[in-house]
Amino acid sequence: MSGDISLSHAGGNGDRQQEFTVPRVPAVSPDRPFKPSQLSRIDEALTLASRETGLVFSVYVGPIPGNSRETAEQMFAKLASTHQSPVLVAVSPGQRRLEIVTGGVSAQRIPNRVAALAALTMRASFTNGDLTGGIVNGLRQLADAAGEA
Amino acid sequence: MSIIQTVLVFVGIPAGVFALFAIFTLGPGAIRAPRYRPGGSWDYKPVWYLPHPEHSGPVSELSARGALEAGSALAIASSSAHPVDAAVEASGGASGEW
Repeated sequence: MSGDISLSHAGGNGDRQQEFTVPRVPAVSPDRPFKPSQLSRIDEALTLASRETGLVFSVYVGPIPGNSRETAEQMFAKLASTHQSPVLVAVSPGQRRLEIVTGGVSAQRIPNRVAALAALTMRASFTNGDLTGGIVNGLRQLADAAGEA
Repeated sequence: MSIIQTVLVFVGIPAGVFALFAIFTLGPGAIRAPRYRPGGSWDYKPVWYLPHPEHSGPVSELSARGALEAGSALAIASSSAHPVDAAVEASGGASGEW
């Protein structure tokens, strides 16, 4: 991937662009990585995790160019500029890399030890080729650790 | 039975049954999108998902794909209503490889 990493809301309008560039992704396209049933599971996990904890969980799936940790932290900074207490889960299936980034409130509520454990859980699913399951389980584990808002 | 009838019954019918089962077993896999395998390439466009805003209705009320889009769109829209006073820096987390 070249250029900026952008926060995508699928099927977005160009006029909703804010600080990030929002790529225009057609509503139905063969290059969408997840099937509707998988999307629905990720959506539910994201929403429940965020609602329970009051943190804003965010999932990125795509290449993480350069030093993956630094890039993920830049993405986190982008997220933190518009959302309060975010948690970023970035997965790059092509590079087989996974980054969980916390900061501020979310770093206090999700200790690194727990994040590492969630990363381990996600790895176990990813190794079996189950991206959706890994993301869902990882989110659930992070949310459980963060506790109620 | 003539030779043609014999061939039709003893070759044609078994071949037909064989073809039918082949279609049923191989068909669904051929249609389905290729599954992710570790180490395989990932040629999809990057996606970045956000949850629904807190006060949206239950997840089940919304359709799967529409919900996700609405969620991220609303989250972006509502973010301007709650400006974040200080930029938070990344300070924790974990990395992994598989």
